Amino acid sequence: MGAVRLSGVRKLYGAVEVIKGVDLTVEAGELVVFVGPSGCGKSTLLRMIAGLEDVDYGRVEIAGRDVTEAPPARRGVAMVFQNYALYPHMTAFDNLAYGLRRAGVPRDEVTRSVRETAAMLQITELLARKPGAMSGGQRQRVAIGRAIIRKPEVFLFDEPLSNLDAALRVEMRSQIARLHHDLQATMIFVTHDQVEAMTLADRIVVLNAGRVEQIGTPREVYHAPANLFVAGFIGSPAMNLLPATLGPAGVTLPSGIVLGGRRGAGEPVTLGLRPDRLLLAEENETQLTGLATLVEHLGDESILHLVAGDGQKLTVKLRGDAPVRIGETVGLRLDLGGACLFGADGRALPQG
Amino acid sequence: MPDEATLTGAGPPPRRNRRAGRGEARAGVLFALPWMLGMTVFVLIPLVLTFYIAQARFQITGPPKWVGMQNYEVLWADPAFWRSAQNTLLYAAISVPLKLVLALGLALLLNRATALSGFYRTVFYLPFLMPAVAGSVVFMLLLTPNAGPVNVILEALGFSPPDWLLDPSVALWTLILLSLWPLGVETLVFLGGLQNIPRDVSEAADLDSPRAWHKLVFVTLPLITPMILFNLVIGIIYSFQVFTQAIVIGGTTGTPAESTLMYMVVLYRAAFRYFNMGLAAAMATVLFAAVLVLTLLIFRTARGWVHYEGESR
Amino acid sequence: MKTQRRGWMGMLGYHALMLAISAIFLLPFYWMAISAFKTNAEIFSNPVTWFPDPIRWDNVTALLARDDFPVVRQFFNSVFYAGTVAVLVVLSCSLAAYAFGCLRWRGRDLVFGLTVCALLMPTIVTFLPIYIAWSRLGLTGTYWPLITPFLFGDAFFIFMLRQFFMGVPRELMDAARLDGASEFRIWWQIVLPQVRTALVIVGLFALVYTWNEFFLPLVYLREREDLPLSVGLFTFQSQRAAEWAASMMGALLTALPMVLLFLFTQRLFQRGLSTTGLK
Repeated sequence: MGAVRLSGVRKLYGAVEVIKGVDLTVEAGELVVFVGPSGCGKSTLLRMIAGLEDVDYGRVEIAGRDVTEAPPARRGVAMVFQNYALYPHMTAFDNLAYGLRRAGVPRDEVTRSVRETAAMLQITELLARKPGAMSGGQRQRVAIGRAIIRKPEVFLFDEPLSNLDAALRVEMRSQIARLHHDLQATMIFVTHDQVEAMTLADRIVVLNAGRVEQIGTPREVYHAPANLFVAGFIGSPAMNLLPATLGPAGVTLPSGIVLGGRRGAGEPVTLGLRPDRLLLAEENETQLTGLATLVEHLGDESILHLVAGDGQKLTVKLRGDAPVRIGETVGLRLDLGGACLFGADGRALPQG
Repeated sequence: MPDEATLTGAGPPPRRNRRAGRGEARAGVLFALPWMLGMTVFVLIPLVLTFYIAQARFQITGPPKWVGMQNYEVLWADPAFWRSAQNTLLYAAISVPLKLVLALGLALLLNRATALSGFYRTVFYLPFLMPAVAGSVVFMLLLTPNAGPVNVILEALGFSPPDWLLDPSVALWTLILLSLWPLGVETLVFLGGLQNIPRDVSEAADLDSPRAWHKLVFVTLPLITPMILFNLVIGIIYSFQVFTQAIVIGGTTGTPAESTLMYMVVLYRAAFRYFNMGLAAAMATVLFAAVLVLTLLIFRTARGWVHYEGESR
Repeated sequence: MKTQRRGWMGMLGYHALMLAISAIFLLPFYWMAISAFKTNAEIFSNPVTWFPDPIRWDNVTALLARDDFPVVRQFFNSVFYAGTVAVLVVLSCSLAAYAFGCLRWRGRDLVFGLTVCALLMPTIVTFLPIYIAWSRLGLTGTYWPLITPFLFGDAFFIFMLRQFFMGVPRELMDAARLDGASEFRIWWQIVLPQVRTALVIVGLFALVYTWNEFFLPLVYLREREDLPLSVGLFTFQSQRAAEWAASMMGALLTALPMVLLFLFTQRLFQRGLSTTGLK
């Protein structure tokens, strides 16, 4: 299993730069998830690693080898596509065998490899079937089989779960996690679903508009977002971002209420608070009030949407039985324990 | 934490990689090569040559002789040119819109599922498969005075049918009638458009107004304007080139009394009866210009009335 | 109850209207068919005979025996002409359509734009120089000028096929690239099997269009024995204007193969049409 190293990777469509210089190392055996809004370039970046898109500038190395100009099949990568991309006119057996045959592997060895892989993924009974006669989950397994059989240095996944229904998606997600554990393989996984990103990744790469916004473990990305974009993108419901200043007595809201914490000389900052850090206030501790516009009851928790006096929208995560109704004015207390502060340039201020 | 700062900063411009990673670009050119060759040899070069021949006296054998605009002057003075141009324009101006309306009407009628839908579709499509020669010959027989079934039926209904083929004031209308028969392609194109209208849009229109014509005018028609444009452009281009039906019914002289003399027939006559290639080429360039101008004009106005759905592929 | 009855009546009215329209559309076919089995006198008899009595079956043998209308020979000319063109169109156009519909390459949109222009351009605008060239080569009077261009492709059928090729998911080709297949192999082993039906559809359309083609064989071919049926019928009809029964039998023979072909493959035809109209 090999590492993937991107240095100064850029991609242009005509004059439009869609990947604006990415430096990134995926260590051997690591599972890295590329996540970002649609159009951020995450799939393009993956396809550049695969060799399906030209790398206009910069270098791509896989397992220590410069593959920037190598054709896809000579890079030691295998890919699982969003819509499986199984060859519809071939049986599962032929789908698995196709790449080996192209590589000139002898016949009986092809057969042996296919049998082995199929046994491992429990798809032996599917081998004679064509994709059209399989369920979504079965196709997915065959697609994974087609990737495994080539014993690649790196596995690439291009949103492979997005077309499955919710229940199957959870099952396949755990299957991929198990696969990663069993094979100890290097994997790069692209998704727009942050739950997928958080649950699968060793490290997450957050992309936006062709740039890397942050690279870190799921915990880092969640608890210490590097900038406002990551803060707003990761986490659902999204982090509350409140304008504030750093006063002599600490973080100060526009209303003048001093929350304490980091001191300063009146610099404007943005205070980021996860929805579970906004609490219903007891009588005299109210630091912020808002009008309840929507309450979403999700069972064991409720999501409360508020509009503060200055038009600021707030989201609060409450216990399922919280007694709040639409139209009520709600007093809130802010728990600065997990708060993030962002400077005027949008970057996170060093914590602590 | 690695980020982009190292790259966008100053420094020597990085080397652009070769595109060796992808054979796709090369393959694209290779796969298109035969056609690019064919298009060059059979379309682009002949197109240029036509404009050249149009300015020459040329009898197929022997070398062409440069005569400048003389062929166009001859055309200008040729009554057959004017007569045929006028006939063809009239033919197109009536036949194309009429055909569009009829095809649209048929498509609307066809746009419901009944046990006989397949049968109707087949019937409306069949005339398109009829070779134009055979169709025209059959029409001549159908429209024969006294013994033709069309006249027999019309007389039985109390009409006094005209002399379809011999009355110079009617014969062009006979050609137009003949052009309306094979409207299966247009109908099925419209039907495809109608059936592509999402069910929810159609149902929303039903809820918005109980009147069927509201839905037709405000929902259905706007949504199939791309098909109307398609049929209109193709229809005009083809009706300008009408040849087979005209030569079967009117011969090369456009009988009766040049009333069915079509532009392509005069062109054919010039090229292959009188072997005056220069004159024929001049006519071809005029046709080219007419089609070009009309097509551009239609596409120009199309922006105003053709509705393309953003997300439909 | 009441609405049900109205629905039922409406249905009846609808079918009555549609059947009446169908009758109008079918009348020429019917008239062609029955006139082919009448004598010339019966064709022009008044009152009109709506069914030939007796059916003149010997009209068939009489037509086959004529040497001024060699229908059998001309039928096989048509089969050869239309069949060859259909095969060539499928082969040559699938190359270009693949390049336009599936591959990304520099200049593609320009070349495709030119192709659409070529598709809209009246044939005659490019025809005369081509004719003169074939004539100089001494190949008029043969099928070479009629068939050779299709070795390279045809704008209309390329356009039509491209619509189908565009429906092949890009991922499939990408998967094959990762599997190490060459671009030629991807076309042959991965993409063509996905568009098999489309190839048949385009072949059928090419067959029908060529079978009905009139202008080109009229101009290029001279000898009666060389003509396809479409031109053969025209020549016969314009020289023997009084022999309507024979003309109708000839028209029947010209039209029938395409009508039969269509009846057996109409589902494919209609799928082909729905792709040409959209976009």
